[in-house]
Amino acid sequence: MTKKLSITLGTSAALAALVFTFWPERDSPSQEPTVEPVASINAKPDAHASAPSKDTNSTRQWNSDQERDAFFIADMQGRFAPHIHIQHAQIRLIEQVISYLREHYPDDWRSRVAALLGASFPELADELLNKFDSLERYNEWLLADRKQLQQMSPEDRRQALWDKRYAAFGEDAEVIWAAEIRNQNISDALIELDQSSSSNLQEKLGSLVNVIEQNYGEHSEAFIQSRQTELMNKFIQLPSVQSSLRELPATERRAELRSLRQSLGMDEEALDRWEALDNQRDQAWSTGQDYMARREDILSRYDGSRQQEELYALQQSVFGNDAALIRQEEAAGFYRYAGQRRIGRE
Amino acid sequence: MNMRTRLATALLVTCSLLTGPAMARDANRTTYPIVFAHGMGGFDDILGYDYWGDDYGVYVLDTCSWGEYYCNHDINSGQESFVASVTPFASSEQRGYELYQDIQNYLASSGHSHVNIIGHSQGGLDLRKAAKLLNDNRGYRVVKYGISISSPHRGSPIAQYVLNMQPGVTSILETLAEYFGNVIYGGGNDAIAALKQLVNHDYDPNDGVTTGTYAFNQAYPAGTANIERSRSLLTGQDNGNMNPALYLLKELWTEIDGDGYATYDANGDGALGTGDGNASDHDDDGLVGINSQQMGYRLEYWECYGCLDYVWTQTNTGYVADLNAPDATQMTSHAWKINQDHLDIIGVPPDTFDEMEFYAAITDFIADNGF
Repeated sequence: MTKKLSITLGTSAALAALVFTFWPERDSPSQEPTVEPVASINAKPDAHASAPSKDTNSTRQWNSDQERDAFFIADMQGRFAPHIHIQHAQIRLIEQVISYLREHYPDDWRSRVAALLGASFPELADELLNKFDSLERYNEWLLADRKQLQQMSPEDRRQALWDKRYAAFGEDAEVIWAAEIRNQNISDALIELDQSSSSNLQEKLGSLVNVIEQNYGEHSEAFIQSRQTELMNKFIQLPSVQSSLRELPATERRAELRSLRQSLGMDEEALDRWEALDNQRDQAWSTGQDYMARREDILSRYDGSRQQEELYALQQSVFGNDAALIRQEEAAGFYRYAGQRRIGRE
Repeated sequence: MNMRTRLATALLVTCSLLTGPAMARDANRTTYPIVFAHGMGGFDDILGYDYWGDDYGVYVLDTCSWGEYYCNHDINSGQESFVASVTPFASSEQRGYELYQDIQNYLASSGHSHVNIIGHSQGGLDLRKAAKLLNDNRGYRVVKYGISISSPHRGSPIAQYVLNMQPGVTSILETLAEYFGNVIYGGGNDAIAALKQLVNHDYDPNDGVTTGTYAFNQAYPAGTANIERSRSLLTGQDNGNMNPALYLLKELWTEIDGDGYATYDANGDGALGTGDGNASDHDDDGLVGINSQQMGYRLEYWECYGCLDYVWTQTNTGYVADLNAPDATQMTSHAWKINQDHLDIIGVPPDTFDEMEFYAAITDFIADNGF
């Protein structure tokens, strides 16, 4: 048992006992079947049984709706109190309240929202209720105009969404969707970098890091450190970056890749692992492209069963143990070495 | 004192009598990082919103630095994760290969030797191929937990419906663009291959290629060969609560009846199995029937007030290793199904599903089981 529970008062002790009663067992390796396929179990079909969500458990736990409501409120207070002054936290609280009420009071949930929000954070009752109304308006619009939204270009759709967000929430919208704004700024920067005339990859990557620093501030280093691979993937797959890398001779390209990865904070060990991976891939692609050429040759020279025999022999000689996998992929229409290689990604 | 004030006061009084629970909320840190594998459409432009996030763009496994707010406060600050990105519309042969390459990249950057993979929708198929390639390449089983969420392991009727150009579908590309955004028009996509992948049988025996989930499952099974622990989360919901993006599909599609048992595609809808004659009993999530979704053991998701939500393994419906031959229970049981639609569990609004706590709970489950 790795979780720590601390229950503070008497009524909660009984709850703790219940929680422990229903605490899940660890996933035991002995549960894992060792033979495939596993024989069917002989259990009676559990047709249409409801999942034992909090519905069924709550009937075991709560003496009354008020008791359950109170527990929910305490939970919301515990979760959101440290950040409730932030508009995004307020919206998440409201969503939790809606979800809870819809589940437990499906017929009159809406009429209970104000009371539950007020009980959760009395000093913010009116503000939260206003936000609830705004969220309802915004979501109704999303629902009503969904089809038109999806037919718009991404830029037009974004503009339409922001127009409605401002209409519903005013300037608060920028705080509620702050994370989305941040993500979008980085996406926009990538598009801009791709279109810039500079062919200096270090400069381009430096510009991306600048945008991250502007958006993440004091947290930018932690962000880059934790999202190194995703950032490198996004950067390196830009058509202009791929084009620059393709123009470089192999040794210079490897050095450039190493330097770019280093700029995103990768240490020497990581750089060495990458270099080994690049080498392995260079070799695989060289073999693969040679295979594709010889494959084309066979297709042009032979037909029918002879063609299949020749292809089979070629696959065996080139790929050895992986030949069956290559055949499986080709049977499904996928040729891993047919397209242009995405340097640094495969 | 009006009714609203009285209600609020009563709740406050009860609250103060009960006192607040103070159970721990933070998910434990997993030993091995979590890799996210997205479904069809990807996350660059899936309806214009982020994929693995809440409805406001906060990434579900974004760890919190000191004083940071826009992050997941329910996870350990040292939790490691990686968001893979593959071609939005392609077969799982291609996407699984790309996922494998992406994971190789991540392993090179991070120095890890193992990963846990969470795949949503088609990502649940992709992860099986990636797991095999990783095992083949490295000579050991790299994937610890492989968890699929809402995955059409045995096909989706919607894929066949669109391919068949049924009423409402005048163009396959335009239909997909309507639901997934303009990303469909991006280079490298193959919408037809993507859809054929998600039909159970070989959709066109005369097109020179063997497609569909049946053939894919034979080549890339679940089970312990490449994935130490295969698990799945199932979703199903009624139309009334369906995400509007999926609700629009109902204008084209009557409704999936996805909880009947058969050893083949008995009702010819493109998914293994059949219906039970009642299409309105929450037996699908808008895109996938529940009889298509189980891989390995099912996971149960349990929402908790006062503590972090739970996820744990349920063995009652047995283990599906041969994805083409689930038994009657595995195809018809609604047990442990999450009452959400296909898009609620990713960041596509509007919904009230708590994505942050859901993924924190999965993280906690993996961590508590040693991986």
